[in-house]
Amino acid sequence: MNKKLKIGYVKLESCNGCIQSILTHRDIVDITNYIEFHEALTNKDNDLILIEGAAVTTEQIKILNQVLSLNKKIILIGSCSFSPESILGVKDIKENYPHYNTIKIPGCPPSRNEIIHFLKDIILNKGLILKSQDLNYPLCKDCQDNEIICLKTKGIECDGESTIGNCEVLCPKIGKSCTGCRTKIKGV
Amino acid sequence: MHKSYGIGIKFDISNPTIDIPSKTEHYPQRIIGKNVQSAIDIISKIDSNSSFANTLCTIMALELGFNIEINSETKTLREIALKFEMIHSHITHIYAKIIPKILGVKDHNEFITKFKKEFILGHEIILKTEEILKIILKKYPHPINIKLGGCYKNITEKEKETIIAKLKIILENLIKTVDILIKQRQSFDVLQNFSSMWDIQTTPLTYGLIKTTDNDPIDVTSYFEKLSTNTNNSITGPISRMNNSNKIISGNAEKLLKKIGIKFPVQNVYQIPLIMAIEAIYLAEKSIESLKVLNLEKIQIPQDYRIKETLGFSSVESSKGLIYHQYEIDKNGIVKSAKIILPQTQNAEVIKKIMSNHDFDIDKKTRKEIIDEISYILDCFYY
Repeated sequence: MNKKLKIGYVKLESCNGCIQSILTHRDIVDITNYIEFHEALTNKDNDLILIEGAAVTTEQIKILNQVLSLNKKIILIGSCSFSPESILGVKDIKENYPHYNTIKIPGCPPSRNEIIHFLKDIILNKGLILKSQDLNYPLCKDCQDNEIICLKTKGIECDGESTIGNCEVLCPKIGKSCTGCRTKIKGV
Repeated sequence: MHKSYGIGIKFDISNPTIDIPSKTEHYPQRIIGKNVQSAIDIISKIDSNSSFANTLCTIMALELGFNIEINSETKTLREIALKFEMIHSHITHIYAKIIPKILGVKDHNEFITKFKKEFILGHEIILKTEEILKIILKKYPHPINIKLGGCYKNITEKEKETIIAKLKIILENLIKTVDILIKQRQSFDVLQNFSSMWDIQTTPLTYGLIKTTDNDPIDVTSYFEKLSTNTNNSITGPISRMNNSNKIISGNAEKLLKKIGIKFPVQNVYQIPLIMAIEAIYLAEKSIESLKVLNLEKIQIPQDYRIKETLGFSSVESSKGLIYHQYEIDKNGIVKSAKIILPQTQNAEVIKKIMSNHDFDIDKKTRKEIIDEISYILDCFYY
């Protein structure tokens, strides 16, 4: 790919952890040989839009509407961008928008490796996103694969059964219960 | 004309006023009705750059309310983690906002391609600090190792040595960062009309330590009202910490202060980034000292505590300044009321005064030049 892929980013109501974790990743210098990151509304010539956070205030709703009107493929990064009630305790208007053109990367924040593998896939596939994350895979399976004794068997409440897996089970590894930061599996 | 910055501040060039976003109001609303553990989790999402400071402030307020005792070794480990978060926050800010402006680059991409060496210098500091935070807190930015009464998991002696080794690399790179800022120092000495406009005081707090009230939580509502009017022109954050504490600064930070010849109290807002970099050096050196003597065997792994109806308050020094939290909990451990004051709220009135009193030379400068100047002033204040 000769031309660099342009990704515009937007930060709504969020802690800034997701976008910051991309821009400070160990491989960012290599990644920026293939991808340019810009603020979505200052450079309208983007191939993809990355949204972090929920649209909660009037200004954020206005920004979201402007971004969606660009009609580009959207990547919702971080759980608060598509399930803010599970992280911030608020609903946001994005649930009123059709998500047919949207990819979701869950986590609070998503693991860096997950984000960077996703971006590297886009680079290798020349800007196309061929497959989404598997969002139907519970955290319990990750605990089993890592031979972590189930916290529920120790009488500790844990949301792992209903939470999207494929994280690094950092919490159960140290004896802390899963609090569902990767959001619920659909239908559960 | 308005321009929005990152977190939604609007600035009207013809009538300078600033609206600070209301995280102070809507985060407390989010946790009312939640149990204490959910409250801690939600509060950790306020701001990735002060995630641990806010989490710790909540935890300490609840520990005070539930009469949970914390030993000195656990407090020291918490303070060390706070210092690392401050270093991380300062350097992220300096390399994301200040140095690109100093170097004249328009965005992240240009910074990496034209000034790769400077970019990698900052990047290394940020990565190493995060690695240290992950060792202590197990997850970054939202810490998971800290709990009411202590930590879920202790750090090992080997991890302690790893942290000290990484800190030494961080220190070398921080000193190089100060060199970059010093080279551009002439841009920091502008705006003489700032010098008599405002006093920089802060509420009394021993430098870098965590303070809680003993038995009587303050009435945060009235304190908040006082902060909103802020007739003392007082400000919180790195510049006020350094103004209050410059005499106790030691080591490389002290040498650099003498070499640069900074006179205290500093009131020029453009000097804030340089102060931040020097503070980061001081924090790194103090952390190495504390870590070397920290007895890890005494770090608390907490036992169960008794939930009761209570009121708890705490104050923590974060990278941007003092944070205050106050919580009222019912007998079932549910949050009945919550009050939070963030540094941005405390500084808002002073920044508004600076903006409204500053002469932007509207007739002589282009719109872009004025916007760039406003942007730089706000960046110096962390906005």
